[in-house]
Amino acid sequence: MGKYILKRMINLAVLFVGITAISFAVIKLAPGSPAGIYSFNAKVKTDVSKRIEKLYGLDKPLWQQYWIWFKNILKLDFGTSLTDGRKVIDEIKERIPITLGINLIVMFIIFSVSIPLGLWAGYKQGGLFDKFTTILVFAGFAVPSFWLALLLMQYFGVDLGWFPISGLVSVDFDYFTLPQKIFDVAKHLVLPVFVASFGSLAGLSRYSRSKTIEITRANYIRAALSKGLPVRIIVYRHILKGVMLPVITILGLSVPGLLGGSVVFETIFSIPGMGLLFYQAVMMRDYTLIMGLLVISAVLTLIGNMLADLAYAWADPRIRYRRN
Amino acid sequence: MLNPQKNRLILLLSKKHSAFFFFLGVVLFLPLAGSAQSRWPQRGGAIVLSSIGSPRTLIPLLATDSASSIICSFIYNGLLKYDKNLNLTGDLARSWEVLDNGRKIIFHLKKGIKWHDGVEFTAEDVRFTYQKLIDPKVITPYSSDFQRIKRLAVRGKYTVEVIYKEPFSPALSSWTMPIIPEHILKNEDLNTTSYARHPIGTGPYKFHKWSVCRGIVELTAFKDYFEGKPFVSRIVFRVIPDTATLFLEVLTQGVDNASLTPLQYLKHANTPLFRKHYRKFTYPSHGFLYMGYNLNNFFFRDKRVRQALNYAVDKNEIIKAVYLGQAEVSTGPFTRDSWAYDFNSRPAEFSPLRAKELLKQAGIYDSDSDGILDKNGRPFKFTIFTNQGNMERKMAAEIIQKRLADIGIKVSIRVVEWTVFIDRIIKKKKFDAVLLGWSLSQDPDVYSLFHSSQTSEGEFNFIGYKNPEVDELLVQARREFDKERRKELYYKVRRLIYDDQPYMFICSPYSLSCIHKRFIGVCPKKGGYWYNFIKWWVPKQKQIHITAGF
Repeated sequence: MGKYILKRMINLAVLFVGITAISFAVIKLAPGSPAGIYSFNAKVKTDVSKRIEKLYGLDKPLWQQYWIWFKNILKLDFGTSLTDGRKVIDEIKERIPITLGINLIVMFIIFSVSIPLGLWAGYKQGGLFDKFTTILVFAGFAVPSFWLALLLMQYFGVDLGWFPISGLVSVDFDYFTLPQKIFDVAKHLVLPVFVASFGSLAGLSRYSRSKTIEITRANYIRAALSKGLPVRIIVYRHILKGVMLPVITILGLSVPGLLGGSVVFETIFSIPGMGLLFYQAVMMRDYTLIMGLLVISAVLTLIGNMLADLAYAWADPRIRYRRN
Repeated sequence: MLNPQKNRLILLLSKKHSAFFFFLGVVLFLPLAGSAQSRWPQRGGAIVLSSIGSPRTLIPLLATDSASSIICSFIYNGLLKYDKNLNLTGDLARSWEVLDNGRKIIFHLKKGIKWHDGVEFTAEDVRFTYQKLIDPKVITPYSSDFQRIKRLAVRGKYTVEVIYKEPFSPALSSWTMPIIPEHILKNEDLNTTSYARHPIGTGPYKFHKWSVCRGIVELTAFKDYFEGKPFVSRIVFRVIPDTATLFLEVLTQGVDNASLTPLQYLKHANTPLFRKHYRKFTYPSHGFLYMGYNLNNFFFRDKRVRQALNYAVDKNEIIKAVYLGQAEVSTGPFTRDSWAYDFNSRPAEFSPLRAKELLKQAGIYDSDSDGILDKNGRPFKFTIFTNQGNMERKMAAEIIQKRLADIGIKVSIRVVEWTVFIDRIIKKKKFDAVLLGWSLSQDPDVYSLFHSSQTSEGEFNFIGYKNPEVDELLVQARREFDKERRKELYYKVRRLIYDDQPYMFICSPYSLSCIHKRFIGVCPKKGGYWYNFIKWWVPKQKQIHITAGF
């Protein structure tokens, strides 16, 4: 096992350097230049962009820039944003809790809804419930989230007035009591969380449905049935176990997604998360911020992959032995 | 839509020192007691504003994005400001003198003005701001106007003397630049200081809170403001990146002020519900849409060709289709709200026949009968570049394309992402024609747009316009402090430019916006409606937000 982990680690380090080098090159080669300060304004002098270039060493050759940047990264120094002069790490730090928090809720909902959904649909394959959920999850998958979001905002926000349109808290949040605050946040989260979860039900529920169908045909389930075990116990004890095992992989793979945040979703609901930060950084050609965000998501993806592999190896001895 | 009379009355009433109106008010409204109470300005409440992008810095010298600039405008003051009729007037300065043919400007500052932390504002702060503006280490884009200063001297606590290398009349407008506090920033690096996120100013509102995770910046009324404490107690800025969301927020009264698109203005904001809560405004903006020609282009070199194109495109059609009528045809770089606007100017008529005639004179006609005009065997084809994310420009380009196709010119359109557009297309001058808009400042100095010295990479005469007469007039206008004489010069500049057609001036869209009706005292003038914000107020029973700081 130790050797296996070591091998994986070396692999990861090489991958990491490769990822950063390629993304650095791609971003620098993309046309355009840091636009934060360069608004197209006749009163604004354009030599400012030259000053910025000098200040941040953007006039040096590409490989030198990369080397300087890479050395700093090893010291965990992500540099300062080209647009507002703040530390990249600080900008990321204030956004992470928002995206992470929402995504955890969303993921919790996806798992707790789509696995039972898939289980029942699979167990009662071809039944009314199966057909209904199939239509539902595929509709969720197919509907563009921004469109659904706007419809819901119009209906529940404007017409019925039940939920706030956007943002995470009310304008008067500071002056609320604690229960009011909790209620306020919850009210703001209903629409975004619903929209984000609804679109992602399909994948997992389809997966657990097909896995259920596969397991239901297995001999041990037939044995359990003929033993006279209640269906409830068969489904939740025996089938669920089989379905859950590969879920570990899915969990591992969703680690980077937890921090990624979607641009469309965050824009529509005015949620100042990581997705929006990344989008704005790209539009501004804020190189240091882009690279900071990329490194973090690359590291997380790699860690997520590794965790998934390790967990799998731990849970399923066949993999461990084959690799060794 | 507006009721000026009513507003005037309220405005007068809001001057609380006016004894006569107080008396009048008592006599008139005393019998009505309860209902009369709300007639008097009441403090409290909040206004919620929004911006598309999140603000970047609250140091006005560095701020270039509109969110930052708007927030800064509530926190800081300049020496001068534009009043409701867009005339320059004193802000931190009590008065100013222009001496020595405009080479010397002396500002007399108001006494007793306090920074938000209680320290007194003095001439030293002005000097400090100036030094930072010209400091090469500070990444400020606003240095150019201040680099014309030969010397800035502080004469006592309340007098600043500025000596220019040569007379420069736009200088006065440059002193609307917000002044920053020396006592706080003197040992700070402006580019990286954390002050950018908790600023101190002299303005009517002081900084209260900036919460990125909630997407808000909050300001509260400053009780020692030198023009009196504002009535509305809080200003909350929300970052709402999506315009569709913003409009839904307006519908639910989540935002009190928003600019509207023509479609929203005419249709979506024309419902009873909307009218119940909001007042809509329309006034001329100081921006205009134009098509700029690369004057080194084989076809566009000839003035007759450019004039012909101006005849061939129906601007009213663009206004009708793209702006739904919410714009007016422009006849030059000055817009209706500017004092340099010539009310006698008339746009060229729409006449494809005249266009064809002019083109023929220029030797351009369909010699090979393939339906496309040509000259010396070169077909008249060109590409209009415009930037991504601006639907209006794309639509306008399509209408131009159609109209020019009618007279036999083949136009293609390319929409390019903004930074690439600036970097590759504009700066490198790799275009035949660009469709863009300018939004100019209140001072009508258009030197950087049309003077022949401003054509190198990164400068704003990127079309390569060169007319010695215009050059001369622009220089003269920059040296002229007398407004009437300066106005005459700009009239001439406009006539020459319109005749030369380096741009096809298309139209100047109106500013469309709405504001929540609970605010009393809103009274739109030439310069918009924000000029008297500190006098706005909300009757207690209509204050939908919590009052703080009172």
